[in-house]
Amino acid sequence: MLNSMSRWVGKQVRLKLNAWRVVEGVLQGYDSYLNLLLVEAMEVKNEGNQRINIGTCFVRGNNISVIETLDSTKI
Amino acid sequence: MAAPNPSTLLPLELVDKCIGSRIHIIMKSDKEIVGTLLGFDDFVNMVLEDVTEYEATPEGRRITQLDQILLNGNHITMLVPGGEVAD
Repeated sequence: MLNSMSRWVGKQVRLKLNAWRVVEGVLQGYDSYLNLLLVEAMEVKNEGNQRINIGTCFVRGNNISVIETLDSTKI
Repeated sequence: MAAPNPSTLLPLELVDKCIGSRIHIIMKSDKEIVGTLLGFDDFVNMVLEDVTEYEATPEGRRITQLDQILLNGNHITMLVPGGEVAD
């Protein structure tokens, strides 16, 4: 399954984390714990009405429930 | 844990580059920690110093200063290098 993650490197993704957090950014890297490295990251709040810029960040894998690709990638 | 392909940057490599500089840690709860990263391990437990803790409480934000801490990696959600995040 992790092989398919390599297809998303460089693409815009939306992460659904615990505590109803939603983060969007460009996937730069990942590991087998599903820790992610995102660049141009931003937190999306209030159902998309508020975006907070984060920049480059590390997301710990155990918090991630959903990874959604925003760029269309045929898999 | 080798990188699957050469252009991928491992997430823990980013954290490693951060050693010695300020880092902003967002926890699972409404708590955020800013400090200087001294080190971390495979479980992303972290040793930090000159720490400021930001907490959202019913009374409003509470700020505490701490000297050196070991932060349990279990509760960490995100790490942002640089320590300056708008809220």
